[in-house]
Amino acid sequence: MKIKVVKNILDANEQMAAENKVLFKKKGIVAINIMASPGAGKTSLILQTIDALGERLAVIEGDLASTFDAEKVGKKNVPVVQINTDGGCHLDAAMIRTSLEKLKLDGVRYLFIENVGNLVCPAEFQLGEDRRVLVASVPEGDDKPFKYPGMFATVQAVVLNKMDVLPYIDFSVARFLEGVRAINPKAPVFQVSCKTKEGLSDWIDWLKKIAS
Amino acid sequence: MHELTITQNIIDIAVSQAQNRRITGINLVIGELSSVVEESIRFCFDVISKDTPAEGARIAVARVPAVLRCVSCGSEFGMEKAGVCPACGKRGGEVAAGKEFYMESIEVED
Repeated sequence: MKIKVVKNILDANEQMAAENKVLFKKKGIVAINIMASPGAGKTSLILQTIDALGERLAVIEGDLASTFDAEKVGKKNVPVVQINTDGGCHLDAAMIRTSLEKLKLDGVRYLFIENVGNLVCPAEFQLGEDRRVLVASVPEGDDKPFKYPGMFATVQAVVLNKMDVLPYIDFSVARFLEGVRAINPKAPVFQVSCKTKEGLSDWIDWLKKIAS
Repeated sequence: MHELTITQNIIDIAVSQAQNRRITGINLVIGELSSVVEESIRFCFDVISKDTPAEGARIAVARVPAVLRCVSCGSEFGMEKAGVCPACGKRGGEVAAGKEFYMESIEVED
């Protein structure tokens, strides 16, 4: 006998994500899920954003192992908590819920959630975030939007980092933009260098706009 | 690799729907843009469904191809066009299908 089910397999995660979202809204927090491959510059972008934004923010760092990133962020005197997934390929809504208990969120305007470095799995798991942001970088190559369409389709903004090394690498910005536009025509693409701070002001303006 | 968690979810959903009946089949729908590996689910399922009402159930997967909808003219086209609309020639499509990942139905013993 056949029984109709029609139930999202990730329903349990999405219910918890919805609860996180309610909590963020109640506290007036804009939550941003930062996703990227390892080494694209997620932490660098967060560090630069802390300096430039001038608003109170908190950070959740997700990594398989180590506390390097949380230590770097902690030096900026912002509330930070490190999640170690012990091999897990993504953060999920329950991990966020647990780590929120360890963060002082009073007066916090932005919560940056740095996901595990991975262009595949994090796309599937809602955390309760207001916006999803993908950090790509020049050394990774201009074909990444074509190779990881699921990730590029799911975000509301793309930050293309390491623009300062463009002269040394065969990377066509036009081809990269074509790839993003192909599957995600609405997301803004910010071309930045976290090293030289080039282009960061547009990113900061966008962050201010989504919180207003 | 998150297929172990996902497979546990699949078993939990199927068992709760089956209401103590033995499950003989689970029918899933997976979109092309969903990062779920069918083979890994099958492998995990064989291991973790043991001693549950879903042990031995047949897993069937219907794949949904990705469909983009042109933001200029509304025509729909597949991923092979690299985002260029075959109808109007403009670039840029929003995902209209391909992100699916759900359990469509289960089959149970009467």
